[in-house]
Amino acid sequence: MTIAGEVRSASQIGAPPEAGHRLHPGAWLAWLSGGCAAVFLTSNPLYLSLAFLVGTGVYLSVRESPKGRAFGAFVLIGLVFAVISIPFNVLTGSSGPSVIATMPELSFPSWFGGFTLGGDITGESLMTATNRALGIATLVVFAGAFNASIDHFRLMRLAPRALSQLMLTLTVAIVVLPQAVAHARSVAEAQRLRGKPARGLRALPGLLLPTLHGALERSVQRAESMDARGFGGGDGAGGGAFAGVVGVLGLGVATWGAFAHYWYGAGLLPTLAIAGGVVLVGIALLRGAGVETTRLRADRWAPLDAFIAIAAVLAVVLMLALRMNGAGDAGYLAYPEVVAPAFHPVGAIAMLLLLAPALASGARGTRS
Amino acid sequence: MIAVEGLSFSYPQAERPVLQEVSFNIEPGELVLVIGPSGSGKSTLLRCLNGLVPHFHGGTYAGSVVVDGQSTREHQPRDLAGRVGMVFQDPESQIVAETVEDELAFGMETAGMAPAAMRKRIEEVLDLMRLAPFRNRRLETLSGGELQRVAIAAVLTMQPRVLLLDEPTSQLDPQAAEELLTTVQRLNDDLGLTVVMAEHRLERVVQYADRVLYLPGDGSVVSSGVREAMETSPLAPPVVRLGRGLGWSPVPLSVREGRKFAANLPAREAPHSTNGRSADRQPAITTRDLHVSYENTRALCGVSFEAYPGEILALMGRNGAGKTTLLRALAGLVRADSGSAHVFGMDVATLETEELARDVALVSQEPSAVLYRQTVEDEIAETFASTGRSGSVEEALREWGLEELRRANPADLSAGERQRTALAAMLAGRPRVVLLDEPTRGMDYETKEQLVNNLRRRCEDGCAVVIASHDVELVGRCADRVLLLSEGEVAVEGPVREVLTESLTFSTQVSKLLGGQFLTPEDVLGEGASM
Repeated sequence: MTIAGEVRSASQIGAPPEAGHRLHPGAWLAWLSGGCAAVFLTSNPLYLSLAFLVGTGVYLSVRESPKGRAFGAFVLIGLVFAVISIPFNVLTGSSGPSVIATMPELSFPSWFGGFTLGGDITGESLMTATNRALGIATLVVFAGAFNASIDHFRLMRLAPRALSQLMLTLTVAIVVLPQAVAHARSVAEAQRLRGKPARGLRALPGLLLPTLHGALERSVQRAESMDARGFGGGDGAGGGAFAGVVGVLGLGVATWGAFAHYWYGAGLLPTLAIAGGVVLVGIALLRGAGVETTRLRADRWAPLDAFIAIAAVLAVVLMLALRMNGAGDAGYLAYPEVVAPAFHPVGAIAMLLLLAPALASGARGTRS
Repeated sequence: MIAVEGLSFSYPQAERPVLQEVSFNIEPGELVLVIGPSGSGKSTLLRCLNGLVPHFHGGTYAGSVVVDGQSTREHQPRDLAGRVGMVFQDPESQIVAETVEDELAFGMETAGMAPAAMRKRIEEVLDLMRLAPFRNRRLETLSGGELQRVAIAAVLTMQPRVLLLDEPTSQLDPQAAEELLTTVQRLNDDLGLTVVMAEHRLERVVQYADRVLYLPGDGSVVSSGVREAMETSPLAPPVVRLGRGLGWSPVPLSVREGRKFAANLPAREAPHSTNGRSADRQPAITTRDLHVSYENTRALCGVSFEAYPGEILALMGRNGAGKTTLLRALAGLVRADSGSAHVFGMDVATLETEELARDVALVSQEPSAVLYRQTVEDEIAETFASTGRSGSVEEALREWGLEELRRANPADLSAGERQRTALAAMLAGRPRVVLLDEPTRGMDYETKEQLVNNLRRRCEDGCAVVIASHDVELVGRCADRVLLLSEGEVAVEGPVREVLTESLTFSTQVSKLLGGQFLTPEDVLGEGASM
């Protein structure tokens, strides 16, 4: 681990500092939002597959940074989750005429959701489950590419002043993740050196405790360092940490609620999402008064950034038009019976527009 | 600049206070060293000086600390950020931003400074810390030493009057550590910055220091002039111990100061080479033409050597010369591309690290990663359980001076204590081969001495020890032979007295002063004469 790090940094000593313009974090944000919106707008496996390929292409074009490598692990975890979700979804949704197999059935009472586990496994439920998994995988790849390419610190600075402290907390949490992965590796190695096989369930406590402890210790030291460097100063009033924690929780609940609502149509969750949003806005208003920060230099918005942002907006507009028009099966449903989804070139164009960051980095590559 | 009056502090649930009735003053422009055994409260004392104690770390607090006219009772650490800058041990856990420039700007942006003023200060600090070539680099591409310089630079942009450094070199390799200490000394010289620094590598800084705060570990702090402190301190660099042993007065703080005494020294009989190796014994470790590479980088190219039971072999060489890789290959953590490595006749390539662990103990550079039990004694017992060897927990505790900490949770220990716990746990199973990777990083002189004695005792029992280290003093003190690696190849191999005394860069303080075959104060004064 350490040696690999040493070798890597040694090989980079001769490398020139990053030349030219780096894409504006706002452009990446527009790309991510556009990509996610386009994916949300369709359930047609043809467009989703295309989007997955596009996301992967962009991810591959930006992953050369060490951080990109670390986030590769997270993308992998996301994909594994997506695959696992298929049998789960198949087992919980059992309707449709094309029965493939029949499993023993287990029904839950209505106060426990009233759903049925097992029963008929149908082509329709299998198709729906695969589509959902494809959607999840695509979103994960988009998020992975976004994470690997943006400078989180600069992204944080795009946030409105009032939210900047909250965003910094999030940023620091993100910075800690790759370090935690690296630390987990050295812990696993240390376990093997102590003669404990670092594999299987029995090794988990030995791995988890030192990893968590290491992460916690680093976080405390980071907090200490930030405190000593004047972070959170100014108003001097307490409650900042509390507001930060509540804010992070609110944001988490809001994201989770929106996600769950989309995929599972749960009714209670949007309420939670709205509550989370309200908390967030409340904090923004509450904290807004005391925060007074400046910026060393504003990020430049170059033509390439505009190109990416416009492409992302256009992708959403095209996909929305397709969905509202009803052409090309943008809102494909496997029910009541599995049929081959239709295809419309506009849907393909919409997804291909999302390749913009890969093209942009290619353009920069040939110029420099 | 800093006035401390009747300061007492204890952490919650601690049995005794870390600091008790401490009073001292620090004048503007002084360079003050904070020394003491690990766990004596050096870090806590520094945290008192910028208000992290008691504002960030709760506990029972009494007394007053006034820094540049501001009392830490009334002011939070963040309000003092413009007056006191603090840099911690681990460079990685201090960074916030992703590029050097953003990191330097962070404090000023938080303080709401105008962009023009920020630019000016960043330019100044980049030059001052010699970081200008790195300004656009991403922080994760920097080495530990560069990152620690960035951490200091980020604090300097706030233009503090006082710089607090909490063992800033303990995570760095010796070359980076030396560069960092030189930079700190220059900041003190050129800018008149008051520097308060906890540091173990006294041989590099003691000659620049004005004063020493010595923490014996009982809660008291003894403040004295540096020369006065070095007359009596149990923690002292080799040249000071030599000077004390030979009755030189005033005691020399550097090799340069020692020269005029050494010139008048009557000729002495050179110590004879001790060589633990006997011809009839089988080697403990044998490698033949070992090649290892990572991705596209060659780490080892054709390394062949032997290590014998009962000897301490030192691996030396630059960063990236392949020292760590060689140790990892011997422990089975990396696989060789070609060539062979045998440990007591066992082919390393055919065994898993877990299986080798019974006979081979590798203590890595980050020793605390191996600790996961709730108490120190459980850690040691765990080793007996996992290696299937029997042994006495008591003996292991005694060997490393951990008796009083037996029920402590390793997570609560200081960095130095944790390192000792890791050593105790890893070596408790009496492995026949001990591999140590930079064991003295952040170690004080007394702990080093303990390490040397423990390793020698292991050797008498027939154990083979291989130490990868930049620490010339340690190698001179304990090694029998030296293997100097360069770019993955064996450049020099020979008895320690030949390799170290014929070297321009790898020579100890005593060897620089006296030449010949003298490596340590003990060579001149005899064993146990000088502590």
